[in-house]
Amino acid sequence: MARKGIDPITLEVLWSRFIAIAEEAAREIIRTAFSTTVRESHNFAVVILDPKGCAISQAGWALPSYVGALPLTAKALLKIFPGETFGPDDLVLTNDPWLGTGHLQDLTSLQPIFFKKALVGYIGITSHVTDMGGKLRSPEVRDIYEEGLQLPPCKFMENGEVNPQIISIIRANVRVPEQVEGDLIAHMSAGKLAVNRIQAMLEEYKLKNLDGVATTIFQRSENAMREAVKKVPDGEYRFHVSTDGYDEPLIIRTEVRVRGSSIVVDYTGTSPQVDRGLNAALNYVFAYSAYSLKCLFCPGVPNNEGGFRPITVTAPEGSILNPRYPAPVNGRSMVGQFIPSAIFGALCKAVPHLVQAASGNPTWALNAAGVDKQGHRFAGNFFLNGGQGASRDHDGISCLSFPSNTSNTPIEILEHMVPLLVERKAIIRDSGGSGQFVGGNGQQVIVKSLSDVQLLLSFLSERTRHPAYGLFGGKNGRVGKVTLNGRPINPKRQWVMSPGDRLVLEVPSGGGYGEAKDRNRDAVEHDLREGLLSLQKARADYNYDGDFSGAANT
Amino acid sequence: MHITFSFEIARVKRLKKGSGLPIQAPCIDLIEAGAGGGSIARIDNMGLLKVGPDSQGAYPGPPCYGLGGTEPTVTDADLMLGYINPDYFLGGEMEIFPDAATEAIQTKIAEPLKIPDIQAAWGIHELVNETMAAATRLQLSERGKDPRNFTLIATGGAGPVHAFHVARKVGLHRIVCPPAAGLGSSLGLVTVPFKVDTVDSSIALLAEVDLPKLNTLLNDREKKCHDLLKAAGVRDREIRIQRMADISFEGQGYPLTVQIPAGKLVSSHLEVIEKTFYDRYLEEHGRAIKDVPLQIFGWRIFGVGPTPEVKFNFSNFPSRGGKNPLKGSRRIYLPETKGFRKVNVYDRYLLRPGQKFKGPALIEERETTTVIGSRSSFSVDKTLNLIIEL
Repeated sequence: MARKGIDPITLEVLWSRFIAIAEEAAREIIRTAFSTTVRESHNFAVVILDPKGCAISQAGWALPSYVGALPLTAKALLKIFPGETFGPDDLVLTNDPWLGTGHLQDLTSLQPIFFKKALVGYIGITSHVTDMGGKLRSPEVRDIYEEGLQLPPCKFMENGEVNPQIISIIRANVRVPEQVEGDLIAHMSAGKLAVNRIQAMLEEYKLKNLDGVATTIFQRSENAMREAVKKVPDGEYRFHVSTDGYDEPLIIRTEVRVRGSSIVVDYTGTSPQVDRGLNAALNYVFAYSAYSLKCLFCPGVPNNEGGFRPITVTAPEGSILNPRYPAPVNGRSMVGQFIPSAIFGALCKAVPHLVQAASGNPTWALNAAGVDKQGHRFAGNFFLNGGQGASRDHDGISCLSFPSNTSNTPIEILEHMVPLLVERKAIIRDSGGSGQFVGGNGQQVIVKSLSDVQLLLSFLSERTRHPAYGLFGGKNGRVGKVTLNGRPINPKRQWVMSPGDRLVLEVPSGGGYGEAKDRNRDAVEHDLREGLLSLQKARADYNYDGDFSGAANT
Repeated sequence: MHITFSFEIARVKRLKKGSGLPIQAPCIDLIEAGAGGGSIARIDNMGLLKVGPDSQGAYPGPPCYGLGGTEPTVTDADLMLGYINPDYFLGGEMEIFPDAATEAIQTKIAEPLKIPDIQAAWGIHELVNETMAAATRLQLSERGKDPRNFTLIATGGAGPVHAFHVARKVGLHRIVCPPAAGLGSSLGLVTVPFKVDTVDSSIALLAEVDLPKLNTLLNDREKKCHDLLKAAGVRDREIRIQRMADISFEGQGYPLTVQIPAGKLVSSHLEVIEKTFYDRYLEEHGRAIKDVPLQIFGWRIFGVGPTPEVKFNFSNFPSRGGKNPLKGSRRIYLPETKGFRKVNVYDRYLLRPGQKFKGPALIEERETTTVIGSRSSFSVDKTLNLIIEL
């Protein structure tokens, strides 16, 4: 595969360097960000882009939805602000859900990389800020206007000077202006660092620009993806999944068409868009579709433009996976994160050894806000992960974010930010779907209000009625549940928590893989020992006849 | 040297924060790169050269050990590049087979990639350096440090072979190779001053700190440091007290540790602290937000005794020199010329304080060879540390 231009060794050094630079910028964001969503849950991405907006590399802990969408955002921004309109210390910004990652809370910025006076690429950063105004994040909203401030693409910074009008518009619209401004400064600090590092790399390797390396990276990654897809039997593979929806279930229908080395994912037949915040813009849908396919076929190849090229994604306009403006979109993950389940379900006959049973996703979140008696406003959103689906040779991991990459918010942080006490946070025993390989367990979190005022609550939640499916004889995972003072509530709506109220969140679990009777006895005893499985369930599902004394039985 | 107050050991996943066991005590901030002499080189499914993270153990070891290993390693590449002397491996106690190294690199790397053998060997060396450099940069930037102010300490078998090119990649200007590297930590223990660290975590806005209460706390901690150091035999007048605070902007999660004024704190000192923090923040992150209150995470009081007078007498370093340390010359690969050049080889044990030489050069000792590239100089200090300036 040797080709003219870059030798394979220099290419590998530069490629590693591109990834390392993105990682370094990611650390800078974590160090300087204000939003807990960014610094604790890592809801951000850093991508290095070529002058056309094609992704060369990303930071490892980026969210799939951001990584897949960012190059699309960059290309859209470059149509409005072409390369020649950029100076060295400029920053273009937007939170447009259709151009960006699907909801207003994500700010995406583009900062140019200049080298010897020539524009050689961009640093793209997306991060989820604490607040964008509007109603507290909840799928209850009826249109985008309720969701907060819309920031069309703008030159937020020019020659190193932040545009005072734009920042004052943002500050006037959000509940925590310092935090949001601080998060934007984190974009600038990280961008600056990455630009410096890329300039140093070009200097060190005596390169004029990134083009030669980028083209080679794209080509090799595309080839690797195409080689992997070629091994999948040609055909049309169909599946559908149901979500809880707001009141009524929503259907995500998919047909995956494999032809040679190309794949089309078509969502024709998916539910029409709804007037609640449960619509996912196409960028977001593309990102999760491409991510699912890459997980299946080419997990080892670093993410970049090349790996995306063999993939086409279409969804009917006006559906929940390609809504028309001004549809409400703030709970877009509540539909979009079902995409891997839909695609894995479709491809489970074609590549049974690669797919994974459905996970207890989408990532749940608890949002709480209020004003204390001293007049201080507090707000925080906290992520809770369910159980991962099992696969051909692995149990699903309990409380693991999939397909998103969001960390659980630590209890200490939650309790510091809002007047809530976490009384219990525990893995729910027996909740993962039984199987030869067991689905990951979900978690239970019990929260009590310590506030002397009322708190406004909203949630991101799903699979309270539709469980994560098991595969090849594996059982479904357990559904999730939310209760307030012992009464089940519809978590898609907003709720008020009064002083002393107690909230219980039970996050769903993953599906199992293979017949439970084929599960290895050592594995059953391991789960008994670890308290993940009760003796009753071991007897009922796994025909376990031992007398396991180490089990903490209930 | 950078001191960290929270360190992780026994990480399950390389470079993965949170996968190890935390030590909440001041530690020298060690960087984990996970690449070394035994790291295996191979070609991946995209036709790219990869080095590590999987490693060849001591047996059968790298092909050049002649014990049956067939996967080319960094050590094999270093041998081909002339950096390691086949006749002086472990001081000449271990036989080395250069032909086996060349063959492994040729058949497993150079031929599949259709590149010359020597380019393959340099590629392996360069890639492992890049891995070490990436880990170094990442950790430096995580702490917001400028590499130019740092020194690379190179120890172990492969460290000094790679340190020079790693330092050049990262932009470090100084390398120190201590003598008797294998004994580093135990020797270090007897050479450092006695030190007591106290930390009180207390989350509050700087502007709202209760000064009388704080002064009582700081006094109490200073007294405690004094008492403990005196109990360890340090004289009162030799004790130095350092006072620090962990501060961030309100709402951030990662504080900077900054110095605070000595003595009784009054409200005007708060501005001094604020300015110290603000300057440090700008230095580390380039840009700061205005009008956000500062948040205290905690207070740190350190008591430090005098540095002990320790004189080492290494039996293999002659106490009085006289012999010429230049022991010969060898051809090594110099990346800037993309070819081999003859360079001087020095005997580490005969280098004397005060002597200064220019690179490129090699310095041999029993456990390792220090590779020194062009545009540099080196010398030894009075405690026999090898100091390389680049």
